[in-house]
Order: sequence, then C-alpha cells, then structure tokens
Amino acid sequence: MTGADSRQYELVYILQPQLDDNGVNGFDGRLCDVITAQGGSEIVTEPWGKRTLAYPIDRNFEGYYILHRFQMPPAGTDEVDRLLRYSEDVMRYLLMRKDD
Amino acid sequence: MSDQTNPKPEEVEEASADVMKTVEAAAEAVKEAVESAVEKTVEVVESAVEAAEEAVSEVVEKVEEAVAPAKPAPARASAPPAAFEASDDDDDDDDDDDDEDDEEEEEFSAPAQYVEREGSGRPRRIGSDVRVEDIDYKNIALLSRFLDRRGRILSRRKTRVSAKVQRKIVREIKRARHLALLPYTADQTRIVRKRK
Repeated sequence: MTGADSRQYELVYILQPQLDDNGVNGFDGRLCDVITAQGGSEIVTEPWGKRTLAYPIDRNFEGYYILHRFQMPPAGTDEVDRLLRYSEDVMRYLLMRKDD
Repeated sequence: MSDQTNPKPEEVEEASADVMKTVEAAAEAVKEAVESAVEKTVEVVESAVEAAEEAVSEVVEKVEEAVAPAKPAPARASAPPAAFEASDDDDDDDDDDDDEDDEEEEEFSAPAQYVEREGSGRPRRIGSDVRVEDIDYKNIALLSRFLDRRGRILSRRKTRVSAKVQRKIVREIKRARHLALLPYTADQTRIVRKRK
C-alpha cells in the first residue's frame, strides 16, 4: 500500500493548552492509529511543546504544537482530516503534501 | 447638613450613603473616560507615526531611485520604518517564545534588516539572501522579515525578490498565520502582550 501511490505528508496541529500530558499523548496516539489504519507509514513525530500563540484562539493564548511527517496514500487524507476537524481539542491544523 | 433641618439619623445616613455612591460612580466614570481617552490618543498617535514613517520611506525610496544612477551610495537617511524585529537570524524556530517579541518599539533605530550594508555599498535588500528551500512556514525568523510592523506582508516593490520567491513567501506566511505562528495584524500581538 505504501508503494508508488503513497505520498509524503506533513501535518501540524495545535491542541488546547488545558490538556495534560496524558491528553496530548492520547490524542497523538489516536491520530497515529488513524494514519496507520489508512496505510500510512514512517511516521515521524516532532513535538514543539507548549508555545505562545501569535494571537488568541478561542481565548487561549497558548497551545501544544505537534508536527508529523508520514507516507500515506492520498485516499487516507479524508479520514485524517475528519479526525482533526471534529476533535474539540484541536484548535488548528495544517495537513499538506511535501513531495512536490 | 444635618443640624440645619434636623432630619432623622437614618435619613442622614441614607443621604450620605447616596452621596458617597454618586461620588464613587462619578470617580469611576472619570477614570474610565480618562483611560479610554488615553488609549484612543495612543492609538491615534501610533497610527499617525506609522503613516508618517511609511510616507517618509516611500519618498526616500523614490529619491533613492532617482539619485541612484548619479550617486551609488545615497545618504544614510534612507532608513525606512523599523519593521518586525527579526532580531536573531537563527533559522531554527522550533524553540518556544521568539516571534512575539517583535515590532511595536517606537524608536527609529534598528532598520538593520532593511538596509543591511556591506561596507559603503548600496543597501542590501531584505530578500537578497533568501534561499528558496529555506522558505517554510516554520521559519518564523525568515518570514517575519517580510512583514511590516503592522504584520502586513511587504510588497515586492519593497522586498525586491523574484516573483517566484515572493509567491512562495506569501504562501508560507499565510500558512504560518493560520497556525498562529505569525499574527494577522499587529494588534493581535498587542493583545497577547498585554495579557502577559
């Protein structure tokens, strides 16, 4: 599945600052599960930690930034997108292709 | 006031309480008025200063362009407004803080990233040393050089980079803004700073 039809993606998302480590790791785990379930592989995680936002989002001034790089067939983006969009803990996310 | 009309003590008390309330309310109102007036004035002054700076920089630029063929190195007065202080040029932006401690300083110094000079040569443009592969939404230090102090993206007339590079920069700045790595406007940053 990770043959020629899979692409390189980069994903950054911001989690609510109220979450504790368990919450952050828990969500991260769920996300990685979804990516793997969609045929993703080579998931690299780069947690940036708690950063101050350049502007408040939902009255929050900070957020947990997490970056992922992974290989995945394009069909899987919908599912990843859905998880991120419908999670209340995710304030912002950015999923993009990196292989062009 | 009590010994003239001989009112009952409760009445006196009530009256004085009323007076106190009124006085307090008045004081509050005055305070608020003063505060808002000060705030407004500050804002007006700030925007005026900014407009003036911009006008000056534009004029200077025009003059510079006109003078350039004759004199390769015009006066040092060509310092446009101090923009986003990109302060450190370390390309690693993954560390916390940074990128909020920029702009808003009212002094006219530090136009460094605008007119970096090599010896007495012509001013180097901001984008002269940008490598295409460095342009990335994570590279806040680099991208903030392409914002003015209001947080607006500088035009290509000011940045003097190629169309291709400018397009890329604009795209990455917009991505960074979406992720709250860069502000959309300067007063957003002000709000954040005020809270600290």
